[in-house]
Amino acid sequence: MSELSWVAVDARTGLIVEDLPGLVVGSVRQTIGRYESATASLPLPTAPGEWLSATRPGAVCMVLLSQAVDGLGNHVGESVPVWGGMVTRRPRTEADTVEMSLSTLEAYFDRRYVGDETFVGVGQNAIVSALVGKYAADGVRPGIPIRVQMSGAGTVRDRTYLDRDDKTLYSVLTELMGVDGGPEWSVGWEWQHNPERLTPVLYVGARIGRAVTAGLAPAATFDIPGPVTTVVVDEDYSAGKGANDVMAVSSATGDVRPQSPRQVTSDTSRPTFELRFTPSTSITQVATLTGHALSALALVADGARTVALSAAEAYAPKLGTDWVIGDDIGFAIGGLSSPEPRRVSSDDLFVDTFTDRFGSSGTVTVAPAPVDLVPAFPGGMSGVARAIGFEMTLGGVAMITPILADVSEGGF
Amino acid sequence: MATPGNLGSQVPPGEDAAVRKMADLQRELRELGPSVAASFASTVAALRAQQSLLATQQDLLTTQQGLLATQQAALAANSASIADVEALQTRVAVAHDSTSGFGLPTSPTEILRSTIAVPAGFTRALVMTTTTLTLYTPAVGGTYSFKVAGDIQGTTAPYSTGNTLDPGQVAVTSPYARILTGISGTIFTRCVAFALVGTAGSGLSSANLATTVTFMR
Repeated sequence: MSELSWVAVDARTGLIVEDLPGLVVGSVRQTIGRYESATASLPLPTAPGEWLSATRPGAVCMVLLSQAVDGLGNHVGESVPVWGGMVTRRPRTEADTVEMSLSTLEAYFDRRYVGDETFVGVGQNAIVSALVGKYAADGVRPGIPIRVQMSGAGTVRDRTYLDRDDKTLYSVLTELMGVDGGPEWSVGWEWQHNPERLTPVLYVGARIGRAVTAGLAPAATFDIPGPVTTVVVDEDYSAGKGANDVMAVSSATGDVRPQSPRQVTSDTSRPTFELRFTPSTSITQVATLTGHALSALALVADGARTVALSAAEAYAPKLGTDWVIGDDIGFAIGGLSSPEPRRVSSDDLFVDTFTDRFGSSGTVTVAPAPVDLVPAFPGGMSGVARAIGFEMTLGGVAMITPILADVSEGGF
Repeated sequence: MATPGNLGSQVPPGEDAAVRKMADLQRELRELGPSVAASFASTVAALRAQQSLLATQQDLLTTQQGLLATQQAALAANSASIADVEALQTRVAVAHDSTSGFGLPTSPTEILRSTIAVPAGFTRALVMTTTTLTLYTPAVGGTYSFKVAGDIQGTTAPYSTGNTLDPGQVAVTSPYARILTGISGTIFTRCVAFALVGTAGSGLSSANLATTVTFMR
């Protein structure tokens, strides 16, 4: 079991400003490589005295803590920060609640601009680390107390950024992630002590999260029937989500517009769906555009396919403990009914005794067809997929919904 | 910018899809501005270079135009000088005609005529004539009187009078000068004479008409 609670932390230092047990947040989301937003409401009758400073827009982050408890309700271990978002807006009315808009710290990256920077033969993770360190972290200019955790320097890249291009850190990191083999990144939170602080961590790497070890089961599995109560498999081949002919283009320089060669899939079961997109305006190298096109084709060739499995947070594998964003997650949806014969109708008998018109008696045995436990998934669906994000619904019974993609399983 | 190659793009659109789309579009627009400006930079640079070249050429043309104006003024001055010189230019023509053996009538009669062509471009002329009439009276019979005058372009000079001896001869000369203006083509001079009393001359009469013309512009 676990308890969820909110605390307000100073955006510049990570110091705890206030505990906010009364904070009401409907749901929070986190996704690799992009920001998410949420809305919050703080009832003022039960709010702490310093609620104004604890909800100051742009200065405070709300962090959701998950505290494990034993059967007696005792806290076990240290709480785990599972989500955090900066207060971006605080409209106040005559009502006795104060409403807030929250955005994950990836949104802060979209509020900082990258200046003149040149990286030649530098690892992509190192590029991300350098940019975040210079343009988001607290330093010469006030920033956030973010730490970068990366797995090595990463694939070597050449990148040039110009102040006059008006590109935000978010835009630059998004472009870098979009290239073939580009670095994945996501902002999490961690405790720091002496003094007690909650500070953001940027996880960056060719892959963030843990891949399942071959031959072993994943660290976390979501099942239905089981803890999972709802499942949504979304197959999306709409514009921008599905295409089998992809070209990445840049903005023109003079009368020349750099563009990648067409990247096409070998699967011809669908008519041609073309996708042309501009990963960034400043790309002049065709090789870079080709990398973007390849990366996009890999994701859109069969359309966006995600699996969302919602389970009660109390009974599901624990976010932040059993699994984190980017991990390989096991899942099992439906399947066939148990092999024991069972009667599904009055006429469907397994063994029937009859007497024919000649007076002879006999028996006939009928093998019943197995029944799908979740009819929308004939035969069931199971496998391992990456948790590219999650949603946690906090009203009433807390629900956790990992968003799985890159599905590799049988029966899909 | 569009990010179909990012894992995040796989996530089904949520409630904030419209807001996120708008933010993405705003970001794209913001980044397109400098990008588009940069894409035209080389063209603008080329245009600026051409503009600079044109400005240099314009300066050169202005200088040359000034030089041409100076030269034009100099030419005009020279032309005026030439006109002045031309105005000072003159040309001289002479003519001489003579006749003899004529009788003199008693009324003014043209005895001789010289025609002189007017050179092109000349409109004025100073014409000087000297007319000499000689009569001889071989027999006694009294004096013989006559008048003679030069004529320029139809205007006759005052007559000079001559009286012959008995016998004998007399020559009377009548000079005449005149300035003609607005002339073209030809001009003429004449010797005009007539008898007053006495016997008209015989074939021993003679007349000379000498003309000197100074043509002017």
